[in-house]
Amino acid sequence: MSEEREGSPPLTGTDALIALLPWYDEGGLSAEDRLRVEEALAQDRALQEALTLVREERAALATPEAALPPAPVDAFDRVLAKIEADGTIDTATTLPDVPDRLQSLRLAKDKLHRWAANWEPQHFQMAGVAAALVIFLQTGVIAYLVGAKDPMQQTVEFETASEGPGTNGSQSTAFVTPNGPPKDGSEDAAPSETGPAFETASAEPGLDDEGPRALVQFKPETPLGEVIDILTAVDARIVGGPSASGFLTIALPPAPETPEDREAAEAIFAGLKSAHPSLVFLQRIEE
Amino acid sequence: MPEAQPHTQDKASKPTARPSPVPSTAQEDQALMARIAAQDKAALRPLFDRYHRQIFHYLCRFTRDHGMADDLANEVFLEVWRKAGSFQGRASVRSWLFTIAHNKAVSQFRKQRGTALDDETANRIEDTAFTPHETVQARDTQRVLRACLERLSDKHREALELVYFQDLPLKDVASILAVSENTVKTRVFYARQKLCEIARAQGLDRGWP
Repeated sequence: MSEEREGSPPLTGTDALIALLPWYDEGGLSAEDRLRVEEALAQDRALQEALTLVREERAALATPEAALPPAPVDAFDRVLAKIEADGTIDTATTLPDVPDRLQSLRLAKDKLHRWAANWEPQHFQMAGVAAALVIFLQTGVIAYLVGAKDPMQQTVEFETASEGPGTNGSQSTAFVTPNGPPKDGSEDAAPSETGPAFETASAEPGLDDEGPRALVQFKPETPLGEVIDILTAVDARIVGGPSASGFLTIALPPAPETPEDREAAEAIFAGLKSAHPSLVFLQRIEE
Repeated sequence: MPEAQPHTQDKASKPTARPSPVPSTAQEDQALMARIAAQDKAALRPLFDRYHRQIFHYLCRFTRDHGMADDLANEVFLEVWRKAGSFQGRASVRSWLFTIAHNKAVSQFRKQRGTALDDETANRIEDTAFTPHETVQARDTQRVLRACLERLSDKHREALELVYFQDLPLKDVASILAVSENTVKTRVFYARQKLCEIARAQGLDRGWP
């Protein structure tokens, strides 16, 4: 009699209205559905009776608070203990075998993730000031990857969107530094409503050990953390964009010396797009 | 069918003992999530205080195992800590928490079904039979309905739980259960019908369906 099958056709007629009633009293319906119910209730006695049943069920099925088990008083302490344990695992267990530089890079990336999260849940948007911020964050990672000690305290380089890729010598270069990003997890400041303050910095020598370049585009809703992860995975550095269409120009690391390493790097690059659905376009720029 | 009552928004007719959501705003929750994503442990506490009890009780009713509910509720907040950066604000934070809780409970059931816990699994399958003791105890409508709720399948019981206990909007229930709004409406409709059928078998004819 009461059979629900996945994919069964939607309810129709009075049944379709009865199906909305459990949400009517609590304001859980869309404005359109609520109006439908109200209009029907005004003239349909059967529907009014059905609403009475819903209210009866709600009253009957609500479990009195006293009948529910109390939440364990030490629950939060146990959550915190687990978080602390996880932290120990992250920094002490998984990193010792990693070369010092990569270990530092991972920590720097974690710091960037935390810092970037101050702008969450806003999504990665390829436009305007937000784009400049994103470029800073991303190039912050990359600058660190090529040798800077702390991307949070370094000036970093990016090219303006109007510059075409691969225009060494004619590109205009800007430097930005964040003002007072959080230093660590416990001292992170609350998210600023207006975002971070930036200041321009005088030019410093650019990084000239770049490899081939590529054009990339992410889905607009891609979280910033994911962008950082993807670019960091291939040691890429943003050198241009975003264009009006959201394209970024990235510089890949110089080709490895050995054929085996070159082959491995090519394989990673070739598999990047299929491995990350948020990366909607990736194409190497021919020199 | 019982005598029809005028349809009103009379809140006084609603139960007073059921747990109500802790007052909060979406903006406050979002701000807390942003801080948690930035690994600010201090921000986890207010979110925990606001929602842990709701999540724990939801899991208690869903799993019927307080120990498991305790473990899963803690895992929910660990997940919040680990995945806050991926929260994109498409649903409310509260719905997101219930989604995590739902997924963890379902995952736990699946794990158990892969082991030798056949008896426990069987107990979660819809069972319309009352014990003589329950029949004697279920003397009034509320008791009968509560007893009937326990006889519903997990799927139907959880749907009613999210609607009647947690007061979650239709779209949020759909998001939590990862199904369409039409499926939620259909599921709750048939869950209510089943509830009435079980009640009728126990001598409580509510006139519907």
